[in-house]
Amino acid sequence: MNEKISFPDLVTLLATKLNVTKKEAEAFLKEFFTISTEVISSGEELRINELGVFKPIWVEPRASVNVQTGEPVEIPGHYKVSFVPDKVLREAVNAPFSSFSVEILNDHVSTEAMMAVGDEGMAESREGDGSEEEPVAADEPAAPEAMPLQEEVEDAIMPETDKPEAPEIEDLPGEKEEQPVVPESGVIPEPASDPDAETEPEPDVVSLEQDEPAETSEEQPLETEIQPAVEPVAETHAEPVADEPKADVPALVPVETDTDYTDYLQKSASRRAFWWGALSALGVIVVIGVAVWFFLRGDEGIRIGEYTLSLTNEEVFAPQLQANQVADTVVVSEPVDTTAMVDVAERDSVAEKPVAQSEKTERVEKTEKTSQSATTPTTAVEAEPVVETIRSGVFLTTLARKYFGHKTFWVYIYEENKKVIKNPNQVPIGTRVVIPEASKYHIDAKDRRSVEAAKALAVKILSQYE
Amino acid sequence: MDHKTFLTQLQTRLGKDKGEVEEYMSAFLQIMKERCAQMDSVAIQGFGTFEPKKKLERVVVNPATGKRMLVPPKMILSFKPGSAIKMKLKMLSSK
Repeated sequence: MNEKISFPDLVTLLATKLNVTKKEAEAFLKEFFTISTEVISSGEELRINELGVFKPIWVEPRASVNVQTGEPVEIPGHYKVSFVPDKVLREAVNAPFSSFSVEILNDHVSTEAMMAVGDEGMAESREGDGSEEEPVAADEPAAPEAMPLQEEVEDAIMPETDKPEAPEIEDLPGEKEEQPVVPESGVIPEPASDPDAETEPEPDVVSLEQDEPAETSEEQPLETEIQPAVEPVAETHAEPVADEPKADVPALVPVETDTDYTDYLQKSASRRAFWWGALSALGVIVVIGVAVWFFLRGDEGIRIGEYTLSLTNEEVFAPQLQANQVADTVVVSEPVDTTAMVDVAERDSVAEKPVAQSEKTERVEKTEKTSQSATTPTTAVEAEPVVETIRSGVFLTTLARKYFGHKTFWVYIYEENKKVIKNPNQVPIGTRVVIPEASKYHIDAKDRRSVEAAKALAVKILSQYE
Repeated sequence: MDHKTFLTQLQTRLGKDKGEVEEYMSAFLQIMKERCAQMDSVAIQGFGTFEPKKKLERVVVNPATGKRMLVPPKMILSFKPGSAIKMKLKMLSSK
């Protein structure tokens, strides 16, 4: 291996091979190379079977530049010897690599797709369950919760009810208000560890006002939130009746301006975590506070309702509080408690779903909530089909990873939405796709066969669009 | 000069008959083949060096079709002419 065989070595090898004296072998080789040299030197082509072709090639003189001085130099014409090994020899040398063959690379489409997948992965890892998941969470809770709400429409509409309602029902102010809640709840889920959440039980004293401002503040920058929150608290303690309306007003105003939901999404996860904790704490507080308030107050709801009516926006983020309060008048004092409990439960369920998706450590909160929450809302959530919108940075593969735990399962999302998706490689932004039930296609990220089957299907699908 | 004429010239110079020369030739070529397949280089003073070289894989584009192809890695036997041949070729070109 990698030895250098010189002329004497070659002589020895040849002599031993032919069982002749070294002298004879040397004579032959000497003559062989002498003739070869002569022939090649004369500018003639030399062809030796099983060795190759030696061919002196004339190189035309050409202009060049002396690298050191920069002077132009002319390289004179000269011969160079080209050697093309014979096929037998070439194959013998290349034996270790003979199994390889030239491979035609796929055209651009496929390579782009590959790159896109890679990018997604990068993006996801970077964001770490960031903005992408929030919208989803918002969508899911919205539909399921609407049902429970409707059942107990009157009861449900409590001041603190953050449950999302179905968007269609815009007739009632209360419902409008409820919608806005959905986004908030969706936002909440990601942050796992909240110091606030643990402290939730205590805050009861703080009372409703705090909660409301806090919720509104979620969507807004931090600075605004803090101020309103603090003031109302003080007030509420002193005079529950008068305070409540006031508290509502500040809360509502910020909410209206909150159209930039997307901006909020982009804010740091830490902030979200903080708010998530704060919200959950506030939610509990509000429920308790509202219950107390209802007992004490009978007519205030109307007044609040006026505020709400004037302020209500058609925007998705319209304040939920107003509607709740309006409804309050309808509600009897006794039912309030039960509704409040329901609300909590629903909230929890909403929170839980996102949590599971984000897979963060919200264990503490979760457990608390689950213990409180009724099982019904959660089941309702599962039954609803999930609809996702394709955006920049959101692909079938990312959705698949989010919902099924493995990006290969995008094929099933595609199968489910064949009517909408023409080419799985290029799904236009804004396309709404239905996420199928995992059980429908036997999707299981932990089952290797399931993954393999999805991959096979992917190859099949992609081959149609090559 | 093709193989046949080369052999006849070798015969006349060595004063041996055709069969004997062919035997030598095939033995010599056999050695070359074996050694080069083992990545050994054969260096003959004055004539030149035979050296197997490894070429890395590369991507080429067919200019006619625009298709990109991956050329696998391979071993190639290269020959570098020795000083004697170079000298004589230089004299040839200077004439």
